[in-house]
Amino acid sequence: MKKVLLSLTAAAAIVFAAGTVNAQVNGPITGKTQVVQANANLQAEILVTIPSPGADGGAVRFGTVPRNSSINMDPRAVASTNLGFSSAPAMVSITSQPDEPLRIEYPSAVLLSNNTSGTLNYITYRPQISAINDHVALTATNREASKYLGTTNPGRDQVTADGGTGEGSTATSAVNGYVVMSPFTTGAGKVTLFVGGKLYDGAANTPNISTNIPNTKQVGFYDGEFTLNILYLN
Amino acid sequence: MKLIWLLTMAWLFNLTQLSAQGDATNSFPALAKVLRPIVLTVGGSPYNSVWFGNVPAGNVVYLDPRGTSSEHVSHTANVAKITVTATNNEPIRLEYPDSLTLMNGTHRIIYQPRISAIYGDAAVNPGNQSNSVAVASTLAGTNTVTGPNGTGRAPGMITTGFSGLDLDKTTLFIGGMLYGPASLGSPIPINQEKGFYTNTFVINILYQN
Repeated sequence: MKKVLLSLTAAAAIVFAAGTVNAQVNGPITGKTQVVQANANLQAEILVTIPSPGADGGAVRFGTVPRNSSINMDPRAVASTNLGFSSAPAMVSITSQPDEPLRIEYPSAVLLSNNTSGTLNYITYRPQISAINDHVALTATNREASKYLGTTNPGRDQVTADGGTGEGSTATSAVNGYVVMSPFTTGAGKVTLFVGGKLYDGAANTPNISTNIPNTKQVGFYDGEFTLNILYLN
Repeated sequence: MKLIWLLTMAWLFNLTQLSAQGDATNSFPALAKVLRPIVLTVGGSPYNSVWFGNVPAGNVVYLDPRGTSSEHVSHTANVAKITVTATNNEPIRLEYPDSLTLMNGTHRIIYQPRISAIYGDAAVNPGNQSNSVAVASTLAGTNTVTGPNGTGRAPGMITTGFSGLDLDKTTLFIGGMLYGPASLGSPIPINQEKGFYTNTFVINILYQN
């Protein structure tokens, strides 16, 4: 095909040199064509609401906690230990397409820092999340009724799969995907997440999810932040 | 046949002119640069189509062909892949629509293809995607796959690799943007009809020179 087109170019030059004939030749396409299909399945907008930062549920708040202790803010409340009196999990209310699984992505460990002494000190926060159908209040009853997030598609009318831990995997991937189903019936398309977790020792760039905060750790206020990414699974 | 006829007519006319000019003679160069045929290889399923997956209304959706800046696509979204095999160190033009309509019955949203390129027959994975370059409408120098500051929008220009293993191959990753039906840049309305939107488009890949 390419040879034919170039030969025509030479012939056209001859005609033009004669000065009497103009010819415009539209040659065949010289390359290749490929048909590409594009597809999208449009669903309801994903709406997320969180209480204001100062309110209960607006942040993961451990309160005042002791060193050298197992610190656990169970999102389901039942196994919490060594928390401050003012502690509360964060609460995330989601509205999305009914009966469509969502994927919740979050890190397995987050460093919290403190600069009281003029030198940065770190502890590790390990998120743990549970879910319950509908938009519910932040109460002990609702927390206990929620389920730890699982990693597989739970199937219709279950908020999340059985057997989940709600904690991010410690595998090499820094972001972990857990699946929650927007309910088809109860509170159609509405889910509430409770975000708690555990605290461990830590160092710069070195999260730790096995060792309690040691007695030598700088006392004071530690904070940090992490991102919860919510998207349709399929 | 039409091409041959035109060639013949041009040759006959030229003979007439030569006769009127007595014994003057002319010679004309015939130039041809023969290149290997362009071969396209489409990625195996699911990389034979652009798949946004379940996407939420109320947003502009972006399936970044480079994989680094995607927004509002589903976890299962994927780019399409086309591997172009052609002569080394040759500029190639990628022709495709700047936008087209995806249809769901009579309902429509706007799709704008975005393409990135990388040398070799590269698998679809985050590493290769992030190393690919959004195609520009200008060419770059030798062994640079496309011009600077590309957006991935049509038309695209790439240069096949200069030398080395597999550099006669260039991989294209095809993603794109989804907009509301009103215009490019507008988010998909919250009340847009839900469901499966689809369409096809043609990408034409040819030597530039």
